[in-house]
This record gives sequence, structure tokens and C-alpha cells, in this order.
Amino acid sequence: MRLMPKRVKYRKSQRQKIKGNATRCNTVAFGEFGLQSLEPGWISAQQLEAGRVAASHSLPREGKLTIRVFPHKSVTSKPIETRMGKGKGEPELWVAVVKPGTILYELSGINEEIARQTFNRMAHKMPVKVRLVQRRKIV
Amino acid sequence: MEILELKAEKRTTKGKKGTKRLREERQIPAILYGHKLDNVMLCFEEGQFARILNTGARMVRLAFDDKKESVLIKDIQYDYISDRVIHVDFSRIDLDERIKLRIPIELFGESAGVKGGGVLTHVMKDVEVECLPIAIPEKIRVNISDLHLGKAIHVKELPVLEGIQYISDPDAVIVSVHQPAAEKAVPEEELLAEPEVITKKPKEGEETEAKSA
Repeated sequence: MRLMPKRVKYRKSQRQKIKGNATRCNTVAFGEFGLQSLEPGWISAQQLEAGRVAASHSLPREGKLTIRVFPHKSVTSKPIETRMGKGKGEPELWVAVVKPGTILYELSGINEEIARQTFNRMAHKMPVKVRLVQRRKIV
Repeated sequence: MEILELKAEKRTTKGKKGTKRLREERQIPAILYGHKLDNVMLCFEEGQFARILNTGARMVRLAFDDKKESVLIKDIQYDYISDRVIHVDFSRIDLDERIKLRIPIELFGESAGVKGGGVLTHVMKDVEVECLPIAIPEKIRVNISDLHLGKAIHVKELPVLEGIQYISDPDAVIVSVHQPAAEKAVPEEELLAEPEVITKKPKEGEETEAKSA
């Protein structure tokens, strides 16, 4: 899976501050269990992919994984041993900006025990603190 | 179904500051509306409401101002980090009047399609029904043991329950079993390709070429 946008308006973006909690993408919408971020941070495309691979190795055949975030933001860096100046560096990686409360992945078609086991493995690949959340009962 | 009682008080505090103060005192702000009567702002103890939620009740008997009213829990707002309930909406109901609400669907049994290598997709997790308040089912159980590969269960095939009418589209799919989708191999060139820049200005050479053409 190609984890970067197909078309962008600008190649490079400013870093920006991550303020507040997630006000969207904060509920389990597609599956029964979700992996929720508890810290603000950037999750790179590689880390997201590592999480997906960890899940596919851990899950039995019937489980279904949904990735709820996408790396829309480019992060630039300058080559090593380069003097300062001469403009902004080239895009190095693509990241997803997450806030506390953002649901990163969702799982469906499995029981809680397997979901907990799978998310535990995925949590090791994440650069932020995460926890398991369950789909809320409807009222 | 037993209707549980919730003791509430009328509140005058409203707005961000007022409700924040209430929540610090372990109280939940709520509102009662419906039946073309005036809205009533209420508050009640957090622990009391948690006990009611744990029973899975959709209806409560609200006791406030020396009177009791049967109400439906219409909406619950949560704090997504601490999981605390931050606000509740109650809707007045008449016990003889049919109401519309969503009921969760629970699947049971082992699908024949899954045993044959298919993937089960639970598309619709709740269904809209119309029923009397006293006949609200906790959940609708659907047997999927006869669900074969390439087949689906629709709303019109749901079990018929006495006094309950399904409102959702009868042809809507609830659960289906299909072949597992094979992952498409993305060519390496595409993986390494840079995204197309929409606002990119054409270079001087390209511009003159375009003009001459």
C-alpha cells in the first residue's frame, strides 16, 4: 500500500504545533475494537505499515483491520554535513498528525482476547502511548 | 422490562463554566425535552447514572420536583479520553406511543462460508425499529450458521419479533460473507514516486513550448 498522498498542493509544509485533543476520528466507527492514541505526535508511514504488518501476523484469518489515519504531512530534512541556509530541505518522510483521542486502527470479527493481544503487538510499533477502546453501546 | 428510577435535580447553571463546575462535583448535566413542552435543565449523580447504563436500560423514570416522568435516553456525550459521561439528552415519551430507535444486532453461530475460507463482514451493526417503550428489545440476535460464501443477510430477513417493526431499508445488507480480497502488488516505481504537485508552475521552457503550440 502506498502510504503517501497522490496529489498535494504544496510539497513542503511547516512543522506546526499539535494543540488540544482530537475532536474528530475519536470514536470506534468501523470495527468493535480500536487503538486510541493518548499523546499528540507524528506517526510516520513506515510506523503505520509496521503496525499493519504486526497485526496481519498476529491476527487469525477472520479478523479485519481498518487504518483510520493517513500520512498527509511531509517532513523535510537537510543532508548530513551541510551548512545551514540555502533553503528548506527535501521531503524525507510522510507522517500522520495525531492528537490525544485519535483512533489509529480498528479491528472487527474477533474476540476481545485476540484484539488485546494484537493491539499489544501493534502498540510496540507506535511512537505514542496507546490504549484499547471498545465500540460504545448505542442509545 | 423493569424501568429504573433516576433521581435528578433542576439546575440553573449553564454554559461552559457552570457545567464544568457541576462535573467537578461528580454531577452530570442533562436536558429533558419533547412532547412540545418546555425544556428542563437537570443534573444528577454520576454513579447513579453509571449503574443504570450498566444494566443496558434505554428508558428511565426521571424523578425531579416531586414528579416522575418516563423518558428515553436519547443521546449520551462522552469525554473520549477519560471515558466520563459529560452530558445526557432525555426525550419525553408516552408509554402507549410507538417510538423509533436503533437496536444493536448480535451475530451468533459459525458461518458455513467462513469455514469454507470466506471473510465475514458485519456491515450494519444496528437497525432502526419502531415499537412500544415497554417492548424495547435489548438486542436482535441473528443466526449466521447458514450463511454461505457469496451470500448476505438483509434487513427483510431479520427474525420477526412481536410488536417490533423494522424501519431501516429492507434491502440493506446486515452481514455478508465474501472471498478474501487479494492484496494488489504496487509497482516499485509507484511506491517511490513523489506526489503530483497541483500548484506547480510550469518552467520557462515548457511555457514557451505551450505558447508556440
